[in-house]
Amino acid sequence: MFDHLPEVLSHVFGFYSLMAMVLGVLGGVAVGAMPGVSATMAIAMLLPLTFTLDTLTGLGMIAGIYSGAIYGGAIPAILLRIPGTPAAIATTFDGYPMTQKGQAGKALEVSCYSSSIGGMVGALALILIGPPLSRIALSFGPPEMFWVAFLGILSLALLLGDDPLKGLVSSGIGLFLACVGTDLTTGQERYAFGAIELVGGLDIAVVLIGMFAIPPTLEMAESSLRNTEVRQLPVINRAIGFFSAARQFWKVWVSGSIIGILVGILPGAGGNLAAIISYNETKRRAKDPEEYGKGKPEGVAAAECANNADCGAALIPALTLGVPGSTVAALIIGALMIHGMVPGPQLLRDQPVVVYGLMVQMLFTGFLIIPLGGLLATRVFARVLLIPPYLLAPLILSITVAGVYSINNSTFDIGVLFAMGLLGYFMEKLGIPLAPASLALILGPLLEKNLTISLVISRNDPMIFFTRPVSLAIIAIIVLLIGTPLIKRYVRSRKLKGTMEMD
Amino acid sequence: MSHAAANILGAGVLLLGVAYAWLLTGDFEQEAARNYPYAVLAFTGVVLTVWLVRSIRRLKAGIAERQADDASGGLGSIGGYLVLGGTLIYGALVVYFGYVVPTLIYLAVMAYFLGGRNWLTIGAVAVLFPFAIYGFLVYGFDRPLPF
Repeated sequence: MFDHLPEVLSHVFGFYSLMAMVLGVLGGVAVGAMPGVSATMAIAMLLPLTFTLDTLTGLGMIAGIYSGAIYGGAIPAILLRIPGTPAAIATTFDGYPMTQKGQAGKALEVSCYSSSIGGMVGALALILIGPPLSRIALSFGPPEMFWVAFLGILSLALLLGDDPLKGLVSSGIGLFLACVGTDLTTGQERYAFGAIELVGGLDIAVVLIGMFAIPPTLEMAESSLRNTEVRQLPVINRAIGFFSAARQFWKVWVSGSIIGILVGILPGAGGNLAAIISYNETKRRAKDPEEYGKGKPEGVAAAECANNADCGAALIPALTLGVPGSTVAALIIGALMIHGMVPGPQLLRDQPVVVYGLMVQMLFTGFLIIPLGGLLATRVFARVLLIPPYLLAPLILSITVAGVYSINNSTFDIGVLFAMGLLGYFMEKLGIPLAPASLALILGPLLEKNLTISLVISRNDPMIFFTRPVSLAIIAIIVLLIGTPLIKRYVRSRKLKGTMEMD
Repeated sequence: MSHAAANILGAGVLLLGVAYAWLLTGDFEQEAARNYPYAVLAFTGVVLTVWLVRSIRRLKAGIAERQADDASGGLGSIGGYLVLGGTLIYGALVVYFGYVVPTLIYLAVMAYFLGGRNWLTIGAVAVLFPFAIYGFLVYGFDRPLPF
């Protein structure tokens, strides 16, 4: 990294990149503060704006939106007990009781500092772990990369949500969507229906925006049909400075950051899980665990630090292996592809300035949360909570439509956007998670390409997938991944049977 | 509609989609281009069949599917479908008539449908917002957007 540092820093801290990061954080906090708008949705909605920009400027804006939106989710969680993003669920546990006690300002400041520290530590982990992992991955051949892609798809399908079967259905849908377009080995058009726009395959950015922006917005509109109450904001007072917060919460920040990083690296785990584990762990180790849930600032610090540390860590598998471990990482991969980059282990070797630049941008946008998301700004951002619910959903949808049209100047893309939105809407209604489909859509071509190349190398001998040491190690992980839940389920059913027999 | 019934309907529709895609795959001229899509469709078909069978068994046994908290039933409410329908019409209008006018109409109609009655706010937002987005994208970011 140090070889490229001067070039990276000159790009990252150039005027336009700096402005993009500042605007990204401000936009991210504002959008993340809207109840029901997740970080994924915020990025999906604002992603098209970044496509006209220079690669690093665009990525800077995305990094800013990501960091800002995760913090922004804490604002409604603290003020109204409505988590702005799923990652802010654990923030409501103590954040809202603090507001009820008249400590809204203190809760917001603790959340702001903790988010910033978590974000910066997560980005440091990305900078330290990413490059060595990428170098290891560069030694992988096609059979290993096939298994890496397979593991990525399978892990998200099985680990996300509470029904692995529906996760697999979602993966199947994503793999099929990835087949649309021209077969690279034969030149055969697949499922293009004569549409010239489909010959090159579905535009990943449009599909992801359709899947992640349309269904939650429709859900938001539906819920505003059921709930039309006008929100009232509590009084927000200044309460705690950064250094006194650091003295009080440094231990919580250390454990929250470590938990956020470890959870972030796992595919499909997500910021909400990191925040809940960190909250529980802090409560477990506390001298006064009974005070948690009644307005304990340490609870807010633990949750917010972990969910922001997760942001940088979630990009580790995406930038080193090309395997996005979260929906936001999938969107970032989509953005890289729009800028003509091929995700995978070679990305860091071929585009070091861009990849290191994104890492530094994640670090810097984590820092920017303090000056830009601080108390004064938070008072302003809290005003977005006053946008009437009946206007919010239509506004988001119309921004999304404008953004998607502007990606390729194509009305066909608007059709794809709504088709994917419709698919995502019904998938969500049926309880089918969307993330495995998005991951399979991105990893499908990688899976197919490496499958084909491996079989060509081995002259159609499938044993090539089972004879190499790294492949065997990945297969062992896959077996563990499938076997562990099955064994747990078997043990649980045996226990249940035993209990019933005793009764 | 119960969640189990909704799941049966969903799995059934998706299975029909897989069957149709299977027929399309058979028409590919190059044999080598068929193998991978066939494998994907076979995998999806098997998983969907297992889901369908499980949902039928659950429906017969009266076991509720574990599902996200949705008070309006397995496949949503009528209000939700009206929102969906309005949004799809909006998408079609944008394709044929450009961005500004359909967005203006969509914002006003949808805000009213979703319970908004403050006409001053709705009117101001519906008129100003499409122009603001148009100006922002076309003049601010130099992106194309049909007026």
